[in-house]
Amino acid sequence: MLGAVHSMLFPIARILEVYAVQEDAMLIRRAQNGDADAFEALIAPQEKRIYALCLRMLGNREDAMDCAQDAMVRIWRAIKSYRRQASFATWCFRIATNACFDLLRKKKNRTVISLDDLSAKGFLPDADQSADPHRQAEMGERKRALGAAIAALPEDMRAALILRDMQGFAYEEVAEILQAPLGTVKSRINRARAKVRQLLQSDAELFSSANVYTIERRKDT
Amino acid sequence: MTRDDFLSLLPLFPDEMPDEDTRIAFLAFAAEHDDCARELAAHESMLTLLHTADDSLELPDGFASGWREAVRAEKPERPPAWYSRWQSWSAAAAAVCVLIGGTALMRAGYLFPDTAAPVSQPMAAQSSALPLLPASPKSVGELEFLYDDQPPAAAFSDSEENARALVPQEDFDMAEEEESLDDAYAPFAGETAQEQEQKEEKAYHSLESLPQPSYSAVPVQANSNFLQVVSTQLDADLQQLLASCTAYGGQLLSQSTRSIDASSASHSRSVELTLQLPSDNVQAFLADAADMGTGAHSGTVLHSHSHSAQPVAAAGFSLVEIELAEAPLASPRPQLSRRAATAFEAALQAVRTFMADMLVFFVRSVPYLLLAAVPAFLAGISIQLFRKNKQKKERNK
Repeated sequence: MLGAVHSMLFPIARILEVYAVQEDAMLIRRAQNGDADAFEALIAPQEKRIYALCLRMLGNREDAMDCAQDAMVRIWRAIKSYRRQASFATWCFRIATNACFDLLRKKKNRTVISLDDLSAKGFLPDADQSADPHRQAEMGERKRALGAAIAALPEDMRAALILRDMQGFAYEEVAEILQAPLGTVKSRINRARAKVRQLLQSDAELFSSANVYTIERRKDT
Repeated sequence: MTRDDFLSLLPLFPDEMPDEDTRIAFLAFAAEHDDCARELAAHESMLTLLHTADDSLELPDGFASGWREAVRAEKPERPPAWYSRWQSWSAAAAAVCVLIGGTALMRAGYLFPDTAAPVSQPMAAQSSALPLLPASPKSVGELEFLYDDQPPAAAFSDSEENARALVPQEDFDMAEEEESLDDAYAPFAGETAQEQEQKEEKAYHSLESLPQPSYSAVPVQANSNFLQVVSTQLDADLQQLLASCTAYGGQLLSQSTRSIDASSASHSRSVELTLQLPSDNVQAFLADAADMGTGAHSGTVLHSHSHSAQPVAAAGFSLVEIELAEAPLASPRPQLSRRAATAFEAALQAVRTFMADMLVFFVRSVPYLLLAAVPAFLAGISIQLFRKNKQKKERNK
């Protein structure tokens, strides 16, 4: 039964995927010809991710907003040179990452951002309103600690970790965005994960027993 | 697995584990050790947090409208100039035009009139070098036109003193020459002139009594001919040629076959024919023979020229020499009609001459090009700097 449903749905999904790719290609062509509407339609799905990248990389909203807007304009200026060697999202994130690095270099903003500073600047995303207040507060604390740990990483490790574990890019895509060898990127991500875990474990209450249930369940199976 | 192994593998979990066995061993070790289980739990918790940290992120007010306005405020790029696409090609085409135009002007005598004549007038071009060449024998008759364009050179080489100075002198001893002549006339020594004359006449008549050839000796025929044909089917062409000769009232006088080394790149066999044809039919026969080169099974006419006349041929007949050379099978020559081949050769020669002129023009232009390149280079740098400054100012604004 499931097989039959899958065999029916798979071609439809494939057609929709092809249609989406063709639509993207058409939008890219129009944007390359100077159509701002097409560019907006093309970049709109990426704007939140680009802003999130800038926010995590720079650590404050003002800089993130400026940098993300600068990245958008850079992408608009450079879209004529886009040759489809990489996916459009990868290409956009390469420009956005470079914009972040440029701003960091310009501002010499290499100091570790304190947890309180991040909190004061509203770094924390809005918490889930449906959760109970205690759970909401705990999640807020955990995210705050995570943000501080990420901000404490060196820039290259931070960028690799954000692109892989927060933005969900594949290792190869991260390597392409950062224009670094794949092995280097993997090494950076592993070191970044280890360092973030060490930083988070300093707060034993928040990170010690959170996922023990997962382990126990895995032990049972 | 040890605890250190576990900790070294922890950052790789779950997406970069070396293999499935390692993954199972890793999880089993974590299940058996509480502290490792806690480490793994913290790691998974961290990954979950990382994956979900930005899920509820909201864009700040004004961000979306801000970049949209910025994009729309960008000056629309000017449409590419008509020449932008062809810029590199047009530069190359301009250079070629300058080269061709310059060469044409030089050939017409408008450029470099003082330095030397172009290659298309080789006599004039070489005339300046004549005084430096070894002196030739005094020019006489038809050859005098060679020096028409350079009287001083002609005067120099015609001067007896210069000629003597330049021509290597042979070691000629008149006394020795006279002695050898005396030896040659020794059989006649001691005889009177009349007796000698009688002996010479007798010897002449004895020569006349020798068997004479079937044809009589005739004066040199100016229309004797030589034709060289490359054939892809030598035997068939040979038969056709002999049949044609017979049809024109001619006959085969001699035939010789020559084998050439098989490693030769040109051909492996050739047949040389000496034919005797009525003088009136020679041209028609040669035309037919040359047309063999355009036949379906034949080769290409390689060479055809008026040969220096043979001393003997029957009265009213002319000698024709034909060489049939076997064409290589590996690379048959393209088959062209005679007229097309002639036109092609002429065009090729014209192109060669023009290319040689172009090279001369280019070489003579190099000093001027170098002189022009310096200000052009400086102007280019200035323009680039000006543009960069302008762009910088616009960005700052």
